[in-house]
Amino acid sequence: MKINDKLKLCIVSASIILLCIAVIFCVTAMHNDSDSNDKIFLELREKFNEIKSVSSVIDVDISFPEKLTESDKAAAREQFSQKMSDVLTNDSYLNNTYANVLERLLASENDPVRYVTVTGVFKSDILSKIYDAERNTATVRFETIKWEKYINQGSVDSEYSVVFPVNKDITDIVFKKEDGKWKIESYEILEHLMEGDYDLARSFSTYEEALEYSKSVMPKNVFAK
Amino acid sequence: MRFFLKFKGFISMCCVTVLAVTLVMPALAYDQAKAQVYADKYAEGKNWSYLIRSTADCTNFVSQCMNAGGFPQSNDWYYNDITSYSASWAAADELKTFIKEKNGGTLLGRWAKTSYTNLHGVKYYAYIDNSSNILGLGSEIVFYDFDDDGKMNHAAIVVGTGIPFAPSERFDKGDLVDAHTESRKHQYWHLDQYNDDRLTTAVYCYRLNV
Repeated sequence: MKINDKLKLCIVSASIILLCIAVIFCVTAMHNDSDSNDKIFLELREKFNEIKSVSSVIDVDISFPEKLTESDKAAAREQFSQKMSDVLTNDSYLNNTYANVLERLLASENDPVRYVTVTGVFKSDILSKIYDAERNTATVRFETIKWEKYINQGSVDSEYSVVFPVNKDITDIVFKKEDGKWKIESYEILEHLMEGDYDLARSFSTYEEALEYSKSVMPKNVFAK
Repeated sequence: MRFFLKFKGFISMCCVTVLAVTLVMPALAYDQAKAQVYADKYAEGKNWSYLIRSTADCTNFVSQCMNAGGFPQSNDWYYNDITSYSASWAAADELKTFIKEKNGGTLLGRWAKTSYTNLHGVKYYAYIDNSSNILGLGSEIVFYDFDDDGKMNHAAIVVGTGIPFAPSERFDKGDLVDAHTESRKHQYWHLDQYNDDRLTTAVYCYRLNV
């Protein structure tokens, strides 16, 4: 073998090794990207859970809408809108859905029903994840166990009951990149199991007592094995 | 002609009898009380004769109650065994479609958060314990669309009006349902106390055409 041939062989070998290293680097980078996305997706899933309860993400207490001033209502709208824009894409139909929910809650004057909700997530797992070709959209399937503190009154004369729903659901959430940030485009409930920490449930004659009690306890994860 | 005149009394009686039987038979075919008794018997348990290939069995439970009441099985709604049952037997959206399109059931109402206005202009809410529309026992099926996308996610059967059983902490009179997958016996029809998606849940109630 001539020296020239040896040199060519060395160059080709080195090129192949470099190519392999480049491929490994790219795959690793993609994998890391996925991992960091998982964290983002899980955080957005949790924030979305709070948006769904409305009262969880605004400082204004909307339990008694008839007591709210126009300024209170404006503050509630602004806070809620800000929270939604952090989580939902501009084009998402969910903006309308939850803006309407808030409006209806604010307009529910003289309702015989009072309620307030605080919510959180016990556990959320990603079951599957599919990206589109450009990796600008991802459909992620979650299994999530959520807790809630819910005060409600069935009719104007009834007591205030405090209950603690613990729900487990499987949802498909479509995430879309908007200005480089992942946000929620849509979601669909596939399964929904409704349990609760029934041992904690109580009824009170006043809303204040109910609220105080709800703040003093925390439901347990009844789905935990 | 003389024959008809001679027996006109008898023929008239036969006609009246046939008419009466035709009118009464559908009512006899479905026994609402039996459906309710079955619902209460198995609300907190499982009838192992009706296994399905899914862990979610709310609609399977409602179908069993309808079956116990004598609702006739057909090619569109049936259960043979775990390997052979119609989608309408075990899936909420399919059962709703079956009741609406094949059975001719009556939609008694659709309630979404936060209000529903009845024919008299009175506002009612999906979380009011007394629905104002639900009246019957065992022939009314409630469907729940948790994300209000038009596809039903859950089903329950109305079993009466009264004060709910434990674990409800409320003691107001209301319309009550029995349901699975999680055992629910005599709970308020809206299930709001258990549902953290209540704000986007649309509730539908159909009365079976029986």
